[in-house]
Amino acid sequence: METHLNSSKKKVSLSKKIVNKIINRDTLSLVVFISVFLAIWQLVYILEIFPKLSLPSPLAVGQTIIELLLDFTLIKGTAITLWRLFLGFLLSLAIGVITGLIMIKFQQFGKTMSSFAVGLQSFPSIAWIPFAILLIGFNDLGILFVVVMSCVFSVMLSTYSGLRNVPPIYIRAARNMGAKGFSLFRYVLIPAATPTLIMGMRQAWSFAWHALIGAEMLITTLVGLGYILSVGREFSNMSQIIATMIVIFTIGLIFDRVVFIKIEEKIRDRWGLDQQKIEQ
Amino acid sequence: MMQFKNQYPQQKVSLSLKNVSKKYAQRNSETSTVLENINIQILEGEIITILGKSGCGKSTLLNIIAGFENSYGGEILLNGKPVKEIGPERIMMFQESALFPWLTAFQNVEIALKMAKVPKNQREIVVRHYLEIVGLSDYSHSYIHQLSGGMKQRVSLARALSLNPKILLMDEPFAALDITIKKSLYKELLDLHRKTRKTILFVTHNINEAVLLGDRVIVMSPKLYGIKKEYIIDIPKDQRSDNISIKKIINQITVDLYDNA
Repeated sequence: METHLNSSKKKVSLSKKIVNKIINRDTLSLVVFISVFLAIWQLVYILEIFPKLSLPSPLAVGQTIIELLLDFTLIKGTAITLWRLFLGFLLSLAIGVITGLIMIKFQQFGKTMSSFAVGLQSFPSIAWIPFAILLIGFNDLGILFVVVMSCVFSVMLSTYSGLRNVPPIYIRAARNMGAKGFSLFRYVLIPAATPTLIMGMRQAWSFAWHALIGAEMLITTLVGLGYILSVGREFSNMSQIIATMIVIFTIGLIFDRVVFIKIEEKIRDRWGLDQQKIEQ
Repeated sequence: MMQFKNQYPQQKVSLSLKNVSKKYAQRNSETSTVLENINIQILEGEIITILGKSGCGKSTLLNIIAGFENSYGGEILLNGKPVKEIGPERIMMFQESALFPWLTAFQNVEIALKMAKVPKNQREIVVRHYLEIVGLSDYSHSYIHQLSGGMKQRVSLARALSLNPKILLMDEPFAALDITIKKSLYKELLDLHRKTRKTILFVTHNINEAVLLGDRVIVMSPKLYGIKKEYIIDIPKDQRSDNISIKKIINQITVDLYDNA
């Protein structure tokens, strides 16, 4: 009897959980937010504050999105853009982490390099484009160069500062237990630096994303989301521009919410960094 | 200074310090002395407590023994052999928890064995054994922030013991805990000591703690750059709480500690 009660209770709580997951408060408020935004847009359109050619209706933009999806322009563009993003990001990750490690190993170099990297980190990515065009040309490599230059320094600096700020007591304890060289590195320094590294990676990811769209617009290679944007401008096709912007926004949001937030949450949970959460 | 008396004549000397001195270089090319000619002999299985006010160099002494300090004068012998570097045969337990927050209690103990290159199947047995000894079997999968202050120090103790050190160096490990937790940890430490007969060098600024735990209490003074007095406490450890002679010793040590010499 009791077990039966328990199991039915479990079932109820399980189905409740699923329902809660689908219609939780965050999702609900997101839906409301988007609806309000679309309503204002529609209102502005009806009132003709801007000429109808300059600002199409939400419905027209929706139609354009469907058209562009059906003729594979958006799908192909998104695929190419994401491919470039991953390539550039992974390359920056490799170069950034390795340089960061060298900076730790050779302290004087680290000191000098870190002040350069701080300067280059805030350097506007779009300012690399003329240089990339003349140095490499109107091709994928040129775009890749711009992406790497705009995000590698974030990875480099977060590796460097993450490792430098490992609490000395962890290192002491580890050396006391017999850790030396590589094992100290693998078992203590790298995991201890991970939260900082993840933050740097997240920043690098968004820098890469900004740089990539800019580079695709200016370094014409006939494919990619940035290129679709620039074509829209040339043909004064506002629907296409807004449609592409929505896709760019969505991709950015998905990666931030799904990938980085999840990783960060997991780390915060493990390390107990959420304990100082502000009481609501 | 009171003459050191060997309580167990058949016992071997574990750690011996010979004329250990430490000076720190200062900015204006002068040096400041912290420790001068420290001589201590610790027998195997003894608990020695070092008592002193802050700034008397007691933690520095422990750091030197652990190998964290590079330059010092004198000689340190462990089982008759000079010690030079950091090594897992002299394990330090710190005041604040030096446990790794990215690992569970189990993994925190295990990592010590990983570094010592113990094979995986053996590691698991050893970790389980020591977590059980400190009474934390049920918490082996908890992350460090999920444990209380006392539990954290028990994990640290399990981690230290799992490496089977020749001597355990404890740097005010219970200083940050409240009094009831302290008391239960004293009891546990003494139980553990009875079972394992580990040699322990325990640094503290708490007189009660020093007298409750130590076979001998060494009182250090910053003015002397070293040892002021040594007390042998030969009252059985399970009879020390609320004991009149213990209270007398505590009073005597209090006078020693605060008479400004």
